[in-house]
Amino acid sequence: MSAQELIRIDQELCTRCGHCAEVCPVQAINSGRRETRAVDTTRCVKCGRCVQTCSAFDSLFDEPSGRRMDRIRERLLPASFAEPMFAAYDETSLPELSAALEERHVLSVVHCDSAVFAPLAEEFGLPAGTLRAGQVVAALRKLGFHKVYSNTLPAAVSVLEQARELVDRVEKGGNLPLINASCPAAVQFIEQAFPELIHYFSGCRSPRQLAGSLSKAWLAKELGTSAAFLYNVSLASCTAHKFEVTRPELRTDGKREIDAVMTTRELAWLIKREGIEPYLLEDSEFDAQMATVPELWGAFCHTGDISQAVLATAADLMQAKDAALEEGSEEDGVRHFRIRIEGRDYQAAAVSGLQNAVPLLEAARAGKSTVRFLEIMACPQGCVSGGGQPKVLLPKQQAEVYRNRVAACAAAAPEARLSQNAVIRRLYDEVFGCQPGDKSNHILYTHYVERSDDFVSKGFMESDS
Amino acid sequence: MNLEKLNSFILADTERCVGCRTCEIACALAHMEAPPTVAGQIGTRLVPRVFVVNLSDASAPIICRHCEDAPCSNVCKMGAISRQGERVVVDTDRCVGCRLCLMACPFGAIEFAPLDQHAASVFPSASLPGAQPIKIMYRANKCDLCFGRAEGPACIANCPEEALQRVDASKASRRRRSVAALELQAGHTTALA
Repeated sequence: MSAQELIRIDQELCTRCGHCAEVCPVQAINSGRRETRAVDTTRCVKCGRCVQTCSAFDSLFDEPSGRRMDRIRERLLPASFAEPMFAAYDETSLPELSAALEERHVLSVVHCDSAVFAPLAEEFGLPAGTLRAGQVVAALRKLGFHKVYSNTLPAAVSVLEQARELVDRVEKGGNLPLINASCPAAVQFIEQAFPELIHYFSGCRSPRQLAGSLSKAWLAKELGTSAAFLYNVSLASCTAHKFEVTRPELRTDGKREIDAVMTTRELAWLIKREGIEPYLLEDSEFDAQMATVPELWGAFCHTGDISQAVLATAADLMQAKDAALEEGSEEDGVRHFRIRIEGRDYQAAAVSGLQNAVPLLEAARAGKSTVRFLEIMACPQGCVSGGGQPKVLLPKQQAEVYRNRVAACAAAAPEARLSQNAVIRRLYDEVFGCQPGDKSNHILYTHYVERSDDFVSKGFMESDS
Repeated sequence: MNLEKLNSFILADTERCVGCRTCEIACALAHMEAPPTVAGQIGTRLVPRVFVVNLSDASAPIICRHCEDAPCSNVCKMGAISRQGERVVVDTDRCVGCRLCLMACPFGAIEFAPLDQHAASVFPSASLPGAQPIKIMYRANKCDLCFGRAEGPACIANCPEEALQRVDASKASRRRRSVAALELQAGHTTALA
């Protein structure tokens, strides 16, 4: 199975209602009235909005009861799977994950995105944020993961690198706005629809990918083993990340950095399959080799968190005293931030929803953008509402559930002084042997691919013609 | 004599309905003890009381009409289907699952659903070796107009296309008459011109 075909629509269950086509930000699903729906896999950016929206479930009254067990097998789900099944779904990585967890000769490492933690509680009938991080860590250990890390250290490195890039581009006249590359669906969207802008991306890998590259290039040695024996799992809220990890340009020495992605829902399925009750577990700590940066735990769950951290860190790097971060009004899914450093205004825009980003990207392409840092998140509230998060059953409840998740996550921590952090300094001095912003650091840097041919020929963006 | 008003019922606009089944989900959730918000909270099959029919060029949920002289109630030997105020309701404790009502309903608005999906966990002896597996009981299952739900029927509130409405029959016919009168008037004017 190709990673391109990650998002699928089951023709047996599809009601042809078209709600998936309505939420698809890249028109990858045909939108005619009463048509059978199918995903155009080359266009699809794997954001999972359709998976989160589909309401065509397997009704008890429509099918012989044996059909459900067949479908569970066809979708490679655990036999204990008890929730309704929907027409739009994302292919699971559970078989590979389960096999790796049983493999004796590998050291299984899980890198945890904090956006998974608050929503996970909902899978167990609890309000968002009521499972303690320590209980989730304990559950991961019970599932057989040998090492459990928070990916706050990779997130901190990514913020530091982007802040350095931003300051350098502003001072030396580089491509502005600097476009954040943390959201893999947004990256693919820009590669396809705005290929002229790929050199505006931050060259630094996304935090989730950095977790993998740091793990294989450095952590393996710390743990006294070789990268070949390390099985890296990225616990994330994201379906698009499953495509990201297969990108050839995100390999180190020809090897994938992340071996498998586990979404919030997949983690819940594993926990349920093993009969674990996470809310009853005693807390367990994250492992220490890849240190946790506590200020960043719970940040990066909501659109705008990254912008705030990058602007504040830019001010910190420039040792700008009394630089105050201001937030402007929010409109059309865009949050605006501003900070003044050495007499220069640094403006950031943080956008939820790929279609909401189009005007900003068009301005950037025309050289008319006033924004210096651009953060684009495909999902309606950023990663708390990701394609791999617990699926809200009723569309009219979505907004409220997402708001509760945002409230349950920590606020962004712009006051974190990352350049002064001892763990991070040690990483640069002893492991990388260079300072932030050094593009020769192949553990951190990557490149992007123009994917436009297909899109231009199909008239993807009307303004292109 | 105290004349009660006509029973109201839920009707779909087939022009608006896209067949998405959100009404079925909303219905099933509204009839669960602690309505879940996310799919992962559900450990049993969803049991809706509205039934979406998807044809090639039309779709609509089929929902009980709460008939005045309800055939389902008339054929029930157990007296399990009765009229309560303006609704026709099933008493699942009396229902023996004979399916006569299902055959009698001219709309197909009654289905038989496993109402004891938790039976196996309620009776732990069923999981002992050699135990007879518990037969899951099916009972008559139909719209109750979301009795006891303060906000009214869940299907209407949650339809993304706003295709459902609760029809008050006497009001509806008065509205029809007004429209017909207006059309008559328009036709009359045109004929005279």
